[in-house]
Amino acid sequence: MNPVHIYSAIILYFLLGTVVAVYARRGMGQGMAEFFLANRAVNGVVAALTYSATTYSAFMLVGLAGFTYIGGVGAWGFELIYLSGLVLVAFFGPRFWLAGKHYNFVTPAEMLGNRYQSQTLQVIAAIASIIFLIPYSAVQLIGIGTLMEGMSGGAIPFVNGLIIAVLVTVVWAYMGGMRAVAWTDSLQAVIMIIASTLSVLFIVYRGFGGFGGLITTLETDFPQFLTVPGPGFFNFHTFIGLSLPWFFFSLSNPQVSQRLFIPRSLTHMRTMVMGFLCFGFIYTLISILWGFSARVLIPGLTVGDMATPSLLALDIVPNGIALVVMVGITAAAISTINSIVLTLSSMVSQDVMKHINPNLDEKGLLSVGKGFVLVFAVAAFLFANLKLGLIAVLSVASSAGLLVTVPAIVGAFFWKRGTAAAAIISILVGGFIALYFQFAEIRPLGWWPGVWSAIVSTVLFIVVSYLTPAPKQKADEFIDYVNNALKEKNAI
Amino acid sequence: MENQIKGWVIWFVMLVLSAFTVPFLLLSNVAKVYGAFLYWGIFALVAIISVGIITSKWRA
Repeated sequence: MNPVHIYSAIILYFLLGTVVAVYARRGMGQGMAEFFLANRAVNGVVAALTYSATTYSAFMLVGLAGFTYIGGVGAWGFELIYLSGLVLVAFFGPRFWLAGKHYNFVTPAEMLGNRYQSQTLQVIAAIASIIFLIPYSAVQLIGIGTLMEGMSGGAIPFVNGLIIAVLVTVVWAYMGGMRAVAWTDSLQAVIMIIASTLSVLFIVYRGFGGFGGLITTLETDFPQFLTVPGPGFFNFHTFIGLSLPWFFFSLSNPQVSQRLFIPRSLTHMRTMVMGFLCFGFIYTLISILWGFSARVLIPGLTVGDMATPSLLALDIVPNGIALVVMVGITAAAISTINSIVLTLSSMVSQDVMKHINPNLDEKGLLSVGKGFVLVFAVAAFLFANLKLGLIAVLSVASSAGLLVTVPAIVGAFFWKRGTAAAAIISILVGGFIALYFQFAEIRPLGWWPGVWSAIVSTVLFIVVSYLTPAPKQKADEFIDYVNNALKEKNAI
Repeated sequence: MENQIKGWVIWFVMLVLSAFTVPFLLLSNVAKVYGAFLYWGIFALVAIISVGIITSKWRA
């Protein structure tokens, strides 16, 4: 594809997003909650779109389509089990929101630190997020660089794609914090869903004459791809290993759990949850149809991740549509990166710097946070540019590594006996196991690192809680407040 | 409230467990779109409707 067309499309996308960001920051006030949480006043529809764009990265149209290409229908099941993990928000969403509003929490780590009365826990939870999410962001950048380089036939160097992505991320996040990120995410979510829907319609109708044609061809020529374990990739161990950490994604990943603080009210949170579920179902279906279409139309690929680029290169996809899809995938990646960068920046200032320098006032903390938007974006760029194997390992380990915070989060709302020591040990040991098993490629009894890190962190959280003193007064005050407020809001 | 939570937790545990067991144990030989593909689609829609029921009661 002509690089001028690609650059033009990206510039148009950037200008459009910048106009939206300028609009979003109008009337913006001062303070941490204003910059990092949009003053807890985000409209339900915008909240749904930013939640969707943050959650769904370039993985969907590249990685998930690739999983479908290699492993068949198991990819559909794995991703829908992840989507069903939003049932957790039905329980924890109102709890996060009520506690966040009452105690003025800015980050999920701050909530843990307050509930268990431990600054150490707060700092550790924040650092764990940084360790696992910077490499995850770097992988998104690598995706953008590779996509632009591949689609331009090498005319756009890999590093140019990275620079563009970092620039867009920093400008939008810096301009208006969560307000700008939420609104540009909304624009990007719309681009993602329109681009992917258009392309899948073109592929299915021009490639197979309609959905009936695709289904008939699949059932006739590739029947094993409609079962699990089917072709073999999705054996039961792999399926559980992938699905389990992702089921808890809405609680374990701070860039999405922080979004439970931002809706204007619980009815707006409802719009956010239901809107995301509808978006997720459609976007998942489209990604799977991409993978199946590639399997039938280009059956000879050896690497699943090549399914999407190869599909876009086929004659049945007009150049204009392929260009829109490229922008859609770029938008998916950038909307994930800028949300992560913003969340991690808030964690550095609120969870780490506040304790290192207690004399810093809110203005000073905000300056630190804004500064780290740039620091984290550059760090992700450097990691991506190095293309170290370690980045891929850390990125894959991120879902298993962040899963270890879940026992402490559940305990915070449901178990007064839970202690700070237990939370700290469960996060440290569980996180180490996730990293070590992933790095050394150890899978005891065939189970993936996420399964072991979940078991170990849960057992440690329970056992150590019984052996150490709980912050009884705080636990009573915190849980009783939340439970009483839940009754008023008619939430369970 | 506790009974409501227990009821929904039991329902969701059964629902999610079925998403692991049914396609692997009961539908592994049904190489049709109405096999695992349809089951997981229905599973997700049931989960979405269930979340819709819980959240519909929330007050502003």
